Amino acid sequence: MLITRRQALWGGAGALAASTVRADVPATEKPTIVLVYLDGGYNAFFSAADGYVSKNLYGCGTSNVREVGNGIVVDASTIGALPDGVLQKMATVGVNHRASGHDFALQYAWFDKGQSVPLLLANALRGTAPFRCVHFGQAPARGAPHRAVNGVAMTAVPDLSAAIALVSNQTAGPGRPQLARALEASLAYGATRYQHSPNALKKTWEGTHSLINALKQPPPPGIDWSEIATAYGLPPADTSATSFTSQLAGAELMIKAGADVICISSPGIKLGAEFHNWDTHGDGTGDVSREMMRTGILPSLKVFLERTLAMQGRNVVTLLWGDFARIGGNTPTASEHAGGTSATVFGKRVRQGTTGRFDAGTNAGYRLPMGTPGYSGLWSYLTAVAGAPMNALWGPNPHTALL
Amino acid sequence: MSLRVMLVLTMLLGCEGTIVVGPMDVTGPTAESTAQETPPIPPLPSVAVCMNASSGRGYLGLAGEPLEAGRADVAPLVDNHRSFRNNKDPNSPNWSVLTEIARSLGTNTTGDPEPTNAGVGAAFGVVPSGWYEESEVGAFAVYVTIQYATKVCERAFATTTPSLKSGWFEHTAFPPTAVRAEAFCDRTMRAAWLRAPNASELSACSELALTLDEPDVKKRWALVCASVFASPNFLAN
Repeated sequence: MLITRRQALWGGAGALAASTVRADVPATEKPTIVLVYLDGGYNAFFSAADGYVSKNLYGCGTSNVREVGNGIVVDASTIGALPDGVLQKMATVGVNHRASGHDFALQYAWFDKGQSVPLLLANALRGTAPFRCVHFGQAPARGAPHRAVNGVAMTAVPDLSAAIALVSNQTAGPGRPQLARALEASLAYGATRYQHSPNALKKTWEGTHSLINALKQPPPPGIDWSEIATAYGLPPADTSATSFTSQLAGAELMIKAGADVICISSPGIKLGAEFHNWDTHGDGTGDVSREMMRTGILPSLKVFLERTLAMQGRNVVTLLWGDFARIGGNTPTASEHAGGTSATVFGKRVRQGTTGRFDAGTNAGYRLPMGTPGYSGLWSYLTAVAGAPMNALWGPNPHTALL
Repeated sequence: MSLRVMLVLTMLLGCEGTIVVGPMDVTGPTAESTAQETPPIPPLPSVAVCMNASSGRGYLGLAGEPLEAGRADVAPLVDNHRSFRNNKDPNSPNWSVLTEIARSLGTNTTGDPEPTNAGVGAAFGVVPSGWYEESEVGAFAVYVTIQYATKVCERAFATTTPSLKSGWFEHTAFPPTAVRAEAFCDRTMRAAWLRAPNASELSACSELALTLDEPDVKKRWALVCASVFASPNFLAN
């Protein structure tokens, strides 16, 4: 990568800023960034509802929004119903990505110049756990290839049973070092095949290495899946990792296992017999979006945020966002695509506030303030909140008021 | 129309892109734009080339960007191995990869919970809905494979039916020696991979048998056996 003089200067300034930030982060606090993506869109009334109030768009009025502090106004029945302790550690971050089509919005949300953002973030956090970046459900950006960054690979967690056995030492049979040694031999047998098919067998190659690394380390202490499952209202035997609730419970498991970045992508929510995706066209009143959030996301998200914000020795930063905010409102065909999003970030080092307030203009649109950065600003902010050194790729954190 | 003419026409029509003589200008932004700060253009792969033609053609996007940028160059006959899918066995409720481990060893899955366990099956990921989609064998799939293979291998060595005795049981009752290790590895690799191992594969396997720090002899052989199943020589085509 080429670095210009300007970037180098920013880098130097950022390093100074980052060292200041790190000073108040206890060295023992292990950071983890959790990316919760609503695949299709994230209506701005969840994070910056005041932009809709003056025109009563999506049914937003003074009676159903809530100012939670420091300029953040949210939908009262959903995000506004989270416990005050959680809301005090919440920020709204404006992302002016200028992609109002799903294809580009997804690419910009998950990739930066062709590199996987979750893997870049994991690389920035410099963890030492065997599974540094994991995803539940469909791979982020609908299966687009997330190639390893500096040796950090993406691991799919299709089901939790193997993960539970591995990280909580519920391993029957041979010992962990012996299994690791046997797998090293497996890699040696497959050397020619891996060499011939470096892309097609990439996940097996990287996965076997991650596994060997995991088996060579003692399992992290204090992981009790039964306790985690019960907290989320799941039967301990449910290791499916297919529902949003079980994926969040799985995320907590992987946080405790030391993961740097965890990705969860919600395709939509089933309301009654009907499945609704987050691309909420036609939801001019916002009622469907609210109900999806209320029933499908918030019950387990509330548990997750309360537990992760209270974790000792861990600094868990959770990002909730989607392709873009929605424009229009109050017409049967409304809820179209905006060219940016007002993302929500939770974390114990987040300073409550917002850079994601917008102006709906005269045409029920979505205009973030001039100078609102794009995704590089969000990634830079997340690394800063996580206490990681500034990444030269994204520059210094532009959302300084939120830290 | 002669066959030769048809063959030439087929080759020409089958090629993607327009073949031109000489290299194309795919240098990206113009001199004007390079004077400003522009992002570095990632290295370009070779442009579309038809068969053995000496050159191909690059295509520029609306902003003048080379559309080949970021596309990976893949050499011929590379990346032709594919991980197996872990389907439900059509003749039983079992997951196919785990069932194949038992079958390869001449034993069966009777009484084992793993082959029908939803979690174990799901460690391989959801079976892709279309054949053009790749299956995924990552860390957890390899983990459940080696765990189950160890169990089945150990059971197979304890079964003294004639088919299982030959080549395995006669070794697994004793600690490994160089000769026993090589014979055992050769037998197991042929059974699992349906081909003879090469010298380096045999050597790696024998070394594992001789150096593995596992005092229980049967477990030690079972781990050697399981290592054969956890390799892409079994898990991929």
